Amino acid sequence: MTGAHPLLDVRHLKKHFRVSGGFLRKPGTVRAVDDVSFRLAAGKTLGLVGESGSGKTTVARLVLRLLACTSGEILLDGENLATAPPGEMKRLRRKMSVVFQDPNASLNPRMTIRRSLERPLQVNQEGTANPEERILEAIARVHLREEVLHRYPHQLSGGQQQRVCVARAMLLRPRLLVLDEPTSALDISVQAQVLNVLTDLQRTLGLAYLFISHDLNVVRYVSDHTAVMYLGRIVETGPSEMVFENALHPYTQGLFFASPPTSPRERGRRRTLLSSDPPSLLDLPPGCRLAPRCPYRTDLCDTEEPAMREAAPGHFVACHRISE
Amino acid sequence: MKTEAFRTHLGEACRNRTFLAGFLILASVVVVALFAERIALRPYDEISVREKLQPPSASHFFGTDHLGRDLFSRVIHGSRITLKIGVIAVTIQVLLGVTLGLLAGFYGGWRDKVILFFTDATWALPPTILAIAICAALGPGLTNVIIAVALVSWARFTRVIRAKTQSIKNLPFIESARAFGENDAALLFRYIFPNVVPVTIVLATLSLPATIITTTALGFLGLGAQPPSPDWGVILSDGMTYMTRAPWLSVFPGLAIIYVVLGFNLIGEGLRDLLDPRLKI
Amino acid sequence: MTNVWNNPNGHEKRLHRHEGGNGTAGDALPGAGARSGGESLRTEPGGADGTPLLSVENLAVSFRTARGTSRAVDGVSFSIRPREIYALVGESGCGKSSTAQAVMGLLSETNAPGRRITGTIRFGERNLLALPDRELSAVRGSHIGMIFQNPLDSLNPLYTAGYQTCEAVLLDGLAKASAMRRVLELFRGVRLADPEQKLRSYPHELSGGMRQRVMIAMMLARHPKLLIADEPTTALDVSIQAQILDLMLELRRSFNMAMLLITHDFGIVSETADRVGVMYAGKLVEENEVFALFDAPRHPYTRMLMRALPRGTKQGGRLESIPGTLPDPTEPYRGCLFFERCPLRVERCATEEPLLRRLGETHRVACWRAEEEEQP
Repeated sequence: MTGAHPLLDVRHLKKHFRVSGGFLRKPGTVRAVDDVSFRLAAGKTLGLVGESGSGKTTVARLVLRLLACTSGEILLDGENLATAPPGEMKRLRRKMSVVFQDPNASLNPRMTIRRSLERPLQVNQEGTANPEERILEAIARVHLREEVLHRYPHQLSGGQQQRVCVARAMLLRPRLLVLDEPTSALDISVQAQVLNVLTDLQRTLGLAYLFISHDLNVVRYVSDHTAVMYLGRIVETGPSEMVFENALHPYTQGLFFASPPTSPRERGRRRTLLSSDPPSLLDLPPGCRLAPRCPYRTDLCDTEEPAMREAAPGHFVACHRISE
Repeated sequence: MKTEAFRTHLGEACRNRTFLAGFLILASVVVVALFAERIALRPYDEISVREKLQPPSASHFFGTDHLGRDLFSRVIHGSRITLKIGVIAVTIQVLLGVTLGLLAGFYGGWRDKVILFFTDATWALPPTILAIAICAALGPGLTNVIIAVALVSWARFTRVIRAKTQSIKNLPFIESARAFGENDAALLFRYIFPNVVPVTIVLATLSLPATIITTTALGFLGLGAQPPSPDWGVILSDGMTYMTRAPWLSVFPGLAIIYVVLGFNLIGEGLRDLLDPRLKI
Repeated sequence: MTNVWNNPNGHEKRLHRHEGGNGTAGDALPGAGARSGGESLRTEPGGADGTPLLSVENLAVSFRTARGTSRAVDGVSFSIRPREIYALVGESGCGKSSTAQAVMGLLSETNAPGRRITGTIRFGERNLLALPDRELSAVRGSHIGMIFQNPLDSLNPLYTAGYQTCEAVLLDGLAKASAMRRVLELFRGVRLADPEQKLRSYPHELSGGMRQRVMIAMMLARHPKLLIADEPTTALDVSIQAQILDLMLELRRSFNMAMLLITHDFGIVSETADRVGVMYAGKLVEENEVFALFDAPRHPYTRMLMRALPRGTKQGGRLESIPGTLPDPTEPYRGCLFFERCPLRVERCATEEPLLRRLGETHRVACWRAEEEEQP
């Protein structure tokens, strides 16, 4: 999908959670991620969009091996993260990094910024010759001044904290950076700063980004390719321009229609395509997961899950109605 | 930078009146304990049958006990015992309770269940009675009192630290650390532990009053330090017999206990105000 | 002023919404006629002659903090007409939430110790800031309603949705039985699916969107003339956001409600607002009718903020961000608060504070260089 030799090649990734019967719940399986496959080339950005319950955050944690997958392969530079033993994982982890949504909670409140930046270097024995130099370089790349190193997280603004997190993520020269809603908690102007920093870094360091967000404008701006997730599966994926200009899957269309306009002149366009609320992950319908809500549904959709088909070069959709 | 931070903290601490009051009280107790010999002009174990049961006077500030010993001196020297037991016992409680709490909260699973089992069992037993039982088993003496007191109260620490650890361990900064390769030990000691320190400090200072009272109770029952050691509980116990004739034997040690307990309570509450909201955890 | 709601096309499109939607379409909303107590909506404060429903004059809110007095709202004046949706936009620290809370009377001594409020908040003929607590409670709820960002926090987890909404309804003096019927009507009116079942549901059993609908139902129970919504859709998914916004617009129509919408999201502003006020560092820096604001923003902050929104792709170039940071709200200032960060600043800006002044019939700007034709 994104290149002949992808940096990250995820194949048929699944994560099922067993939910034991509790006081108020019946037992069952939550298929949080259910057969997800995608590829990401070095230096490119894959945007993963979806609403709550889509599984996009779980995918991020699976790729980072913060969670063990139920089945599937996660190939980073050809090596399978899903089956790597702990010893190997330490080495492989250096190739990946993460930036989370809440910058305040992503920094240890009891460590100075300098300390927070020293730890990754110390743990990985990286740049031991001159850790100070690495840290100063990282800080400079995110356009922060040296004085923030002495401060504690609560003394910095949200935007500064997030830039520290980006600096920390870059210290070990990773190849892949996973960003889970990195700008959702930030103000508009601060978001712009952070997005600029990210695009600059990608250009100069050749980083690949797995960019997860619910904000379609941000994803469109930042991603080369976009994958849309719904209830644990990817329903549509392709080059961002194609997906955004010509959304094929009804869910993607519904998402786009539902997103707020960028100017008041666009108000009043049709906004609700999908009916009712999404089902619970414990109680998925047979067949296509969108069928109960889909305006185009047919009998086939109720019984058979659609497979991903290439509707246009590079543009894949999982919908029975598309092939018509 | 560190000294600057310290000075701001100190300034803030001084503005908190509760903390300040507690601090001054405890400072005075510590001074008294340190310089007991200088402050109490007479030795505490000098028996003089002629001077027994005398009311407070210029020569005996607090009066004398049934063996003619100077009560003032006994109370002053007794502060050492009280502080020693209190601090050592609470230190053991903290080491035991916090470690178990961290492990239970961090790992969960069977480790959590086992630790909780012991914690809840200890928690369920009334502390004073348990202390008496332990002392009775081990025999009287200062060391055994310390052990007994430590063993009855560590459960409180475990519960609180366990809850705090559970709430911290899923925060993004822990996940980030895991992502760049920190192992479990590092996560526990470099990340989680420093964040439970404020809670621990507050709990420890608030635990001291209960410890002191339990110690006093044990001394009262004769399970504490042995005579002629001027343990406050022992003095109270002796004074009970002479309550009507020589009330000063009960009043002064009682006031001393109240004074120290008050000091720890105030400092603990002051610390709680100072530490928690600022750190916003 | 051209109002999009007079546009038949826009009107029509909205009527077709929710046909397959979250609940039964076409239910009568418990609207104008259903109010007990006989008060006709024609006698609402602010008549059709253009008298404002809400008039905020020189509102200033400050809080006492460890580092000094912090200015949250610093001399803000605006007004809202009946049935108008007024959006207060700004980034964190601009004072929009504090303004909303002041209007709603939520800044009491107990939950905001050390606060100082000056100015006038005129609702109808009454100055809300001068009202004793008892009268303020009467106004709050029956005339002014408020919904918040996080509906889970705003609903009591221990009581069912029906019970809580009923409490609001009972304030109108209805008997218990008819109160419950009214709650059911309200639930239908906010398009809650299976409303009978929802009466017995606890907040944790409801999704975010449903909880927000319950909140709206509670607020509507007493037919407020003004609804204050503080980031009502920020915590919700995009499709649910769309539904809630649509619902609010529809309710505005049937209840003849005005709305004060607090948000940082220009998308929501584009979708719903009639007029917009942009706030920065506790001050109102620009105010205009929504189309004009998007077409021709005049304050440098507004312009830079709009240019910071991601549009198109990164191939289109870097996003414009605003250099510098917010000034310290505890420090005294001179001149314009945006001075340090403004690309248009001149000497005058450092010494003379630009006050909000009228630039057009609906347009007010607080900038010395607002009239200049050529702006970089």
